[in-house]
Amino acid sequence: MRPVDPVAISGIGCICSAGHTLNAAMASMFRGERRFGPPSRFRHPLTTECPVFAVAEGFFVPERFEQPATVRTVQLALTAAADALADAGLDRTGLADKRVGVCIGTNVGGSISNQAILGEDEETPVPYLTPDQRFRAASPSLSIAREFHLSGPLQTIATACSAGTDAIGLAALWIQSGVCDLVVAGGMDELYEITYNGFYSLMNSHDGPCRPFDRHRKGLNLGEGAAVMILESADSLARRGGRSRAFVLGHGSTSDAFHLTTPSPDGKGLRMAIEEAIRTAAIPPAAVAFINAHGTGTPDNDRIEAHQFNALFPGAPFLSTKGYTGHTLGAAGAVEAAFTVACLEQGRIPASAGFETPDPDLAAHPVSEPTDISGTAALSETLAFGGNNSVLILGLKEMISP
Amino acid sequence: MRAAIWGVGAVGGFGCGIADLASALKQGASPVKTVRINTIEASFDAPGLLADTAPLADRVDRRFLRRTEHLTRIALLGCLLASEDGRRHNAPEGNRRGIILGTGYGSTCNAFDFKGLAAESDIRQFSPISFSNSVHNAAIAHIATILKENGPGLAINHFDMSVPLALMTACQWLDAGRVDSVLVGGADEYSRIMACHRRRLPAPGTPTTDPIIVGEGSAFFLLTRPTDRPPPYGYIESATTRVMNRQPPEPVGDAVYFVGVDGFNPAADQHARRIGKTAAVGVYSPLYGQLPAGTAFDVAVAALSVKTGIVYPSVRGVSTVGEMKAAQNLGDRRIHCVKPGAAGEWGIVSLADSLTCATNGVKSD
Amino acid sequence: MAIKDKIKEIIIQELDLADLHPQDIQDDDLLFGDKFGLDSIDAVELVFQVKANFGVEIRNMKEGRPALQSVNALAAFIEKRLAA
Repeated sequence: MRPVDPVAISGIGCICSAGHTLNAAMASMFRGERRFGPPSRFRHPLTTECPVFAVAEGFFVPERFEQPATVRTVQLALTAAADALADAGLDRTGLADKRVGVCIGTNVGGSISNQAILGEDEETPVPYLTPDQRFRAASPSLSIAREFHLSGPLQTIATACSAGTDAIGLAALWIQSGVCDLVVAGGMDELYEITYNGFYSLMNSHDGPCRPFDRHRKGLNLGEGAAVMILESADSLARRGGRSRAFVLGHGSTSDAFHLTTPSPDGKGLRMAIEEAIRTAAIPPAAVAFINAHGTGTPDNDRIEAHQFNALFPGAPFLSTKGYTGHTLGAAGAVEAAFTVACLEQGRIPASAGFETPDPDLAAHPVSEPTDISGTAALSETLAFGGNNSVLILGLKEMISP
Repeated sequence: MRAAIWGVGAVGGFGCGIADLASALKQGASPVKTVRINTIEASFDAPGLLADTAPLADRVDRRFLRRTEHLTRIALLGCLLASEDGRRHNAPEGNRRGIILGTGYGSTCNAFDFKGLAAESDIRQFSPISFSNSVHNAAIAHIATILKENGPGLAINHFDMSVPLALMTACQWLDAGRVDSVLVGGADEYSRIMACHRRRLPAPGTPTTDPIIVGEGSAFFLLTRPTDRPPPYGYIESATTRVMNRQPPEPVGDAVYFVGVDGFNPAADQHARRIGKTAAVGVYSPLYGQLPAGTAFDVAVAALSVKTGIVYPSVRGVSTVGEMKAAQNLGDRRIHCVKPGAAGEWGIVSLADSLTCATNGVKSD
Repeated sequence: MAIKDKIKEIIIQELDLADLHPQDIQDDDLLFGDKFGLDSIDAVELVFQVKANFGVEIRNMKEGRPALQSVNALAAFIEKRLAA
């Protein structure tokens, strides 16, 4: 794997339980707020209720959009995409003469599931929608393309918890290979009955607020959200006089090839993905200012990550932001990439929420309070269900001086 | 953006392997089976072009198939067949292999059905194994584990554009040097929802053309970067999708067009008829049926055509002058597999037998 | 059906051990030893199946680990809970 050209990020939009905008979420995290509560939008028959990190209502403003959107994942997608385009200084007119792709990671938005479609119930004359109708109603990438009149390609990645990371990595490839001038890339997922019940049944859910990397961690909390990054070619930026906010410097992804629900205990897959990301970014590991970990709060996941951080980036500060947002599944990689850029811009990272008691079984420990960082590049990383590992290196500058 | 095709693996209503696909192409038909559908309203038998995964037993230890569901098995068999075919043709060895699955329905096709269809779905969502297998990259995870491939694995779940997108990504991975080879393809399982929908047709005002039977199966390809050795199935020259609501791709020059007519999307019929006014058109969907990943089979037929130099007669009558009623010599023509998407997108996958094939085909933009 | 027979049927059916017969599973065989090749996801599936079939909830793996050790242990756990 050889070094790749950096790809400019010209705009970012992000929405999660910590805030309706990236700035609001960052401010909330630095204040140490954790906005979780009982699940309210779906029924569940569980005896033990696990908290969730829901996006506060009122986030979707229909007047902002040409088309109606009833599926929550689509509402999240459109909101994040509109914010990202505005941040990049782009509108429909500015996009009209460009080759604009959409590359989205999602689980709920990619599934052909009945429950994602609102307004469909037993009284509906046709008690089901055909798969193409579901796709048209529930696809975030299609909705973004329709809303902003984009020419494509449109793509939906469904690699579970690393889908958002993979989507940004693949979108960078679309710019590097010249397929697109600009890509609307990111991930989104809504809180959803099947994932809530599914993770509970896997005994991976914590019945209190999650505690990533803590000695007493018991599992994850689910969250919801969306983040979109506008990736843009240098040529397109130069022609319209746009500015680059940050860069995708490198991307790596691997398969554990180990087990459907258990990460490979030696962390080999994660290590190879990190090494690939570092190689493609062509930076020394010491240039990584901090690591935004996957940090779900499940015992195995956190142990494997801490071990690899200690081995590959000894002493580097790291954190999990899932204590603020919950695990937003398909959105996680994109939301955390957005946080990573914002932290680089501010020169500091928030405390790793939920971490109180160091676990002697872990090789490294996250930051327990807001911490200043120095450097212009950082690593954002996700480990998915099924053993898919995906890693991004993000930076404020195109070049990292050694 | 070019990738050499070293192996093709396909399983579906036509049988198992490309030899079965070739003989179905010669006969112009695949055997139709029956599927029992139970809904809260009624029980009925629906026709289906079904994939038999029994041949996995000779290839994979049963222990590794435990907990795998039908979609995983269909995709795994396609992967193994493509890989075996690649070995037969001495495909170049590489260090790092990626796996990409394009699937329209994904793994939730029948796992968590709509309410009226499967009463047990309410309870099944609490089974950890059912839930795990409903995650859309479950098939890729199982396949990577069974094949012991640590390279990147990707599940693309973008309805009927999934396969052109999967091939596009495969070509880009090869170009960028991310991998040395890719097992890439499409898979979908039999959709009981579509079978119910078919049964409701024809409603007033719906098209009266023969609906193509709901199908399932997978077709996979072993791709590498072009080498100094010519690959048996030629090259994928490009794979892409575009949103072209108002302007479907126009035929340009002397090329052969395989159109993904599936009896469901009227745009496909219209497009096949329009393009057939000036160009040679083939439609092969009656052999594999209606499924969003169906483009994978058209690409498999195109790869076979490049290998043999023969373009097979069109299997479905779409009433257009260019429709190939008999086999033709491919000559130095390209083959464009064109898929009109249900949401106004178009997928185009172009194959050629050599890197120096005359420039013709669809306008790229 | 006796609880032990039902447990064996669940193990074979729901954990997809189709080449196994009920008589192949001894009441005191270690379920998560080498003999059957079961792993962590089988364990949580068994927890689900016990709830679905017997109405008995295993709340966490602290409770689950001893209970899922063997058919004997699981049957005893279920009987104790049903009697409570």
